Amino acid sequence: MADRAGGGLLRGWVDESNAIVTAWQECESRGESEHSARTQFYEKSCKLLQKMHGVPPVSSQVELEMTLVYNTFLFSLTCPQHFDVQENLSRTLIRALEALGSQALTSDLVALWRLVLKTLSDAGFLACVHKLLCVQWALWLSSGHLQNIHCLLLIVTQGETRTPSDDLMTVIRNLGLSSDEKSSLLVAVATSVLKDLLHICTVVAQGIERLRQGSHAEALQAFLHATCLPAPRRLFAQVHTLAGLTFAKLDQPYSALQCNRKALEVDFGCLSALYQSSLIYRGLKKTEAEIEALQLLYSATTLRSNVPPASAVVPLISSDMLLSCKYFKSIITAPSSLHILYSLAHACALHNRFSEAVEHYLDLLALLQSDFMQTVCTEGNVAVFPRIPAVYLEAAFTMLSAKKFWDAAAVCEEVISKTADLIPEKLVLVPLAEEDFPAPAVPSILESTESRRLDRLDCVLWAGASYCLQGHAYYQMKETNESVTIYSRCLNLLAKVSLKRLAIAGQPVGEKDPPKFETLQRLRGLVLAGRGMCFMDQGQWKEALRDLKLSLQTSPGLQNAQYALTEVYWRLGRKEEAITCWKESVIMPVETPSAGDFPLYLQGFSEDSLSFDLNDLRKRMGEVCQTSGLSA
Amino acid sequence: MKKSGRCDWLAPGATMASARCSVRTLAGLGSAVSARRPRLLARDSRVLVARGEREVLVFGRQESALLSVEAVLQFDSAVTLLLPAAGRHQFYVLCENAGIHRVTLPPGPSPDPVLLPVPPEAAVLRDEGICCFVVVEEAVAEETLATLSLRGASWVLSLYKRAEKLFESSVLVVPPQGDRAELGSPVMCVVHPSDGAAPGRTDPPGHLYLEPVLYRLLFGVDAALLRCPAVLCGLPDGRLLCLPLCGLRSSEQKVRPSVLHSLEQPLVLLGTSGGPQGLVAVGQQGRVLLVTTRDSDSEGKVEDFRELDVRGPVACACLDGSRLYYSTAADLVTLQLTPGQVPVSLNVSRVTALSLTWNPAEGGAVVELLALSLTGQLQKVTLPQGSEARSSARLPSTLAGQRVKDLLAAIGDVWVRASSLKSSVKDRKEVLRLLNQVLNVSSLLLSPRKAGEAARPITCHGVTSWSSVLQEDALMLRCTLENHSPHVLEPGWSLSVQVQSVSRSAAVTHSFVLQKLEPGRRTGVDVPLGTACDLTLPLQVHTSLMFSMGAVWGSSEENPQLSCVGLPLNTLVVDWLDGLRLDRPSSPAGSSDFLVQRFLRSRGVTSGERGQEPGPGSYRAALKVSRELLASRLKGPGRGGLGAAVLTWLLGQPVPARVSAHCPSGHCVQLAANEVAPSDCSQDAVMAAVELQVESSSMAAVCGLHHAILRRVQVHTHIHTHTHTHAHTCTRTRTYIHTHTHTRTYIHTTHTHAHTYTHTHIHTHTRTYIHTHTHAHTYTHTHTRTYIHTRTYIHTRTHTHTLIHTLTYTR
Repeated sequence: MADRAGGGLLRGWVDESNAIVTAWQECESRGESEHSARTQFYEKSCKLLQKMHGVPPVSSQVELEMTLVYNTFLFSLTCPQHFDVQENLSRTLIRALEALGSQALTSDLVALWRLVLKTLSDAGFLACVHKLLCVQWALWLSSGHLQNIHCLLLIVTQGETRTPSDDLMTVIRNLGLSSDEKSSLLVAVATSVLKDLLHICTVVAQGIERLRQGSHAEALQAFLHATCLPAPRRLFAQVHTLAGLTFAKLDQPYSALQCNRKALEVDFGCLSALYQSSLIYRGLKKTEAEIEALQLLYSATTLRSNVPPASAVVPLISSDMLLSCKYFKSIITAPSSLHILYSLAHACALHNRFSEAVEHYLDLLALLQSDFMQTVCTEGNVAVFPRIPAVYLEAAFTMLSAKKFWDAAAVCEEVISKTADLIPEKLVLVPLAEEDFPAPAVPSILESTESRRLDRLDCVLWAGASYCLQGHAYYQMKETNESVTIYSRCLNLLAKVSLKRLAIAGQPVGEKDPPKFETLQRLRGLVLAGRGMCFMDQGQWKEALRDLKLSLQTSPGLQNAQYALTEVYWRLGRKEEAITCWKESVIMPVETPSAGDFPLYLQGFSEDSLSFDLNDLRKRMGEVCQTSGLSA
Repeated sequence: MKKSGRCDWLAPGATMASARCSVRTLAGLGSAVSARRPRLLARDSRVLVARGEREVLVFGRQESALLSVEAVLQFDSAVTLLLPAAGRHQFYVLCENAGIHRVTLPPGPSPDPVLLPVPPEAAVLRDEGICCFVVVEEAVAEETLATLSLRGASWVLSLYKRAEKLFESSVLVVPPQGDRAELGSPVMCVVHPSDGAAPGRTDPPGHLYLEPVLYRLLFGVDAALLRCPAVLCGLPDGRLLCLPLCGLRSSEQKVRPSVLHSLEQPLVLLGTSGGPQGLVAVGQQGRVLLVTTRDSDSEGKVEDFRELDVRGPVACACLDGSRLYYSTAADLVTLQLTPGQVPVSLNVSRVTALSLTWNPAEGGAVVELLALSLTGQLQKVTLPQGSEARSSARLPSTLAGQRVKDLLAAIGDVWVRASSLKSSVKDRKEVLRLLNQVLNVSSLLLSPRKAGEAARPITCHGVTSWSSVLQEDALMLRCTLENHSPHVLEPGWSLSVQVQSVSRSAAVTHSFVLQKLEPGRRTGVDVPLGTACDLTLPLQVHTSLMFSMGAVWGSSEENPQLSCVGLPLNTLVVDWLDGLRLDRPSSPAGSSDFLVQRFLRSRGVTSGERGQEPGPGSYRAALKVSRELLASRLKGPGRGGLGAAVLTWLLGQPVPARVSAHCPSGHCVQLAANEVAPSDCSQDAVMAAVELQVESSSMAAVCGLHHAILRRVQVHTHIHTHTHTHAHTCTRTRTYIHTHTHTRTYIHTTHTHAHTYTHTHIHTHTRTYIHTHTHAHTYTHTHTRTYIHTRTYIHTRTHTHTLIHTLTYTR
């Protein structure tokens, strides 16, 4: 009697479980499997599972219960709340053991599984147990417990083949799971499909783990293995990208480019491959190709963001859910359009394509101003995005180089207005290693005053650079008076900072100087040179001589200042000094620190910005040197 | 004082000033509000109220100023937050464990209240953990929301656009001291830099505009350049989190909200003060944080965090300009957020939710608060005018006049109070001065007198006289009080004269209030001693100064005995000599009434039984007093010789050597003083004496007079020996006691003979008068040469009088 009643109850539950799956399949086929619908299915199967847990475990129910847990897990993957899947799984396993008369005395999951596989493999529940095994595998994969997966799969394979194997990949390869589906119990996704996905994802996860550990060769091996496995298109492209990245790390750029090309061929949506390619081109100094790649990338991202998110059906199971490792995501996610735009603009500016660069910078500023939300959600970019004032200054520099003086002055004014009034009357800094004090974007009272001072030093540098660029803009516009005023203001500002240079024992002074100090000196040099040239224009040769000499003392290696100084000596009739100065300027570029160490906006300007005829000077000095060389 | 019901300031020193404002109930909710933090939102002439239940009541303004329910929004779970949306009649509603809804109300007032159920599916954002949210940006039908939710042990700050999560960051929850239920709900707002924005623009709730410099200091230069807003969260643990919405940082540094400050108590309100000048955060226990810009020498402009504590708990608060309004459970308080300001109580109790509204009808000069009371009433609180500089600048002239009147009334009131206090102080001073006087006088009179010291500075003397009172002759004593002390005897002092008969225990006390007795002045009072028929001599008169404490406190009706200071002065004796009435030589019968009296007496007395005139057989006593003794007392022999002088001295008025007088009982008395030659003591030839004779038909009169004379002589002897110890003085006293047999007792002491003579005489009279005389004469001739004369009188009737007189004679 009780049996019959129990049997009726079981039938009812089986029907209910099947009804849920059928309903889902109908939804899926209609293409309206929305997020909320899946949540409903999840909740329904959870309720049913709770009902079943209400009765004592019976062996006849074990299969149904396990199938239900499997389905619940599948539905839970797209729901944010799937905390209780592991709990449901363990409980079902314990109940199954109890139904068969065994007792689970351990809370360790691996030990529990060993017991389950031993107990239930004989009882003909193998298919169900393997379903749950996949669930456990997926749970551990998404939480990154590769070691546990290895142990679990080893138990299964040892039970079948009895050949001990150490390698996870070999274990997986040898793994044979029972896949005979019982038609009476419906499942949302077949076990074999899930198993295949788990296989490739595990391989990829292991490769990423190796990549992170720095063993690139092993990682490459894993990725190349993964490319041979069946996978969805998206994952396939991602695997190729990863392989490309690994090649790049192994210093095989051309293989890397090949991999990236393959990835893009498989799935053009894999923008990270394109971005990686641009980075490789940059490394190869193929500017054209780099800029082209970035342009392509930018247009792709803008295109994508303009199109509303496709209502493409998100599959019930996908690699994204299983590979939730942040490192993987940071690699595989393309940078935001903002970042791409900046890279593009910066690359253009660096390679003297100023008119293009100006356009890109203007776009960038507009984007920054208009949509602050975009900037918030960019996370995990590989490259460093500079501080906003630096972006403004780079834009101003580019504009100056593109001879858009008024625009440049306006942009500089904007930066000055935001920074100049924060600068104290006196700023004394004892520089420490920069990396100890990352300058905060948001000053907080919890941070030390030292970091606040560093923050203020940033303000000084930004304001100083703005003045410098502004002064140069007026100089170019032949408004030398205005220019001298601005340069003088800038020098006053820079004089407020006094950096105490600490001689670290055993190291020559200056070698370990923080870049900020060098930057400050460079800025001083540039400003002094700029003012000196203004004085030249005004015919104040003595003042020009003083400023230019000071400039070269502060920051040796300013080519334009050297030329100007030669000219000043010449004009003052001090030929000997002019010749010495000229000779220095000729050999100088070899030994000066490369301008690339400094921010873009402190690069200095090209020779054609000089107000005197450089070619004339060259000719003159060449002749003089020849004659003096002959006479000597 | 509070005539007009307007503001009325107290002195600035007070801890809390008080003001009155007008409160008007607009609507009743029908039940008390029990929610921890009910919500109130006034927008577009509508008021939304959430009491922490599933319903949101929508009130609309009717023609009358009262509000009535227009609609009831019903949600699936309790409503915890209300925020306005950009569109008209649109609101955001946060429900507990559900999410955020955007509700569009039907435009225009509806005649009947409608119930509008809002299904959970209509939520804009579904997330069960959301505790608080703020609308960052609102475009048409798509909004960017910043939410704060409690997930596990961390606060999660998320950004959503069209229900799509853009950003998420979390900070750990600092567990509160008490219960989890006391965790409270967080507050959030969006901060913008106020670049070029017109001040006083209507900020949407939850949006603050800060001065650019302060904004840059708090949120960085990057955010300022981009003019991007920053989200500010006040957590229930008191931390103030900020997140500038430009997260352009390197990948290594994750975007995280940073802690600006910690108030260490749940936050109730975030706002700005004085336009965009300062950021304000108000904590539940009354801590107010004010963040402003300050100039620092070493770091240029820096942000300045200042905290001040007001009396909490703060149930709800709102800001208007730089004025903070907050409600403790008991009172609504306003505080100007500028230094040196005192919280002003508005005397509105049990306000649990506040919202600021402007009344456009009065030109924005009047601040109106919309308040929800715990009892479930929607109230309009109109604030007192003139409490702010802004409103006083625009004060209309009519109101100004009223204000001046109020101020004048207030000034008058303060003056009245001040003057009453002043007079009270003056009274106390006066009392202290008076008590000081009393103490001074007391110390003068009560301190033990040292030898050689002059008499007490305040004395009382007495002189008797006969006068006629109510057709009866009475003996009056005129007491003269002399004040030789440096102190003034103020009103409050009184002279008390106690008259006591030696033979009777009963005493009569007379009290005379002194008006004012300056130093060096004297004052006299008359005390009746008795009429001729009921006078019993001798009398003792004790005088004393009394001070009543009642005079100090001005309550004379109190029992004066309980609060009196009594200072004894002199004690006077009125004896038979004082009571004598001398017969005038011209009219020996005396005054006319004396004649009448005598006539009346003669009628009742049989003639011959007891004669009026002293005749033979009457009683007689004689007393010899040495001349030297008298000489020291008398100024000189006088006109009538020594005898007259002695009598004049004794009677206190100039009389001849022989006078007749009447004693109070009416008997005639003859007094005579004759110089006698020293017959008995022949050895001492120089010693002359005066014999005093008393003769009367009345035995009592003779005895009384004899006693009186003896007393005076003794007193003078005593004084004499004190003052002339070096002189050759011999005192010889003869006592004659007359009985029926006219006995003479002669006591004689010489240098050579030493004897002790004791004489006891008991005389029994019909009037049972017992007079015991004990004379103890001791003369020791030996080298000590001390003569001790002890004399004891024992009058035994009802009173015992003992007089021990010691005479020291030293050669």
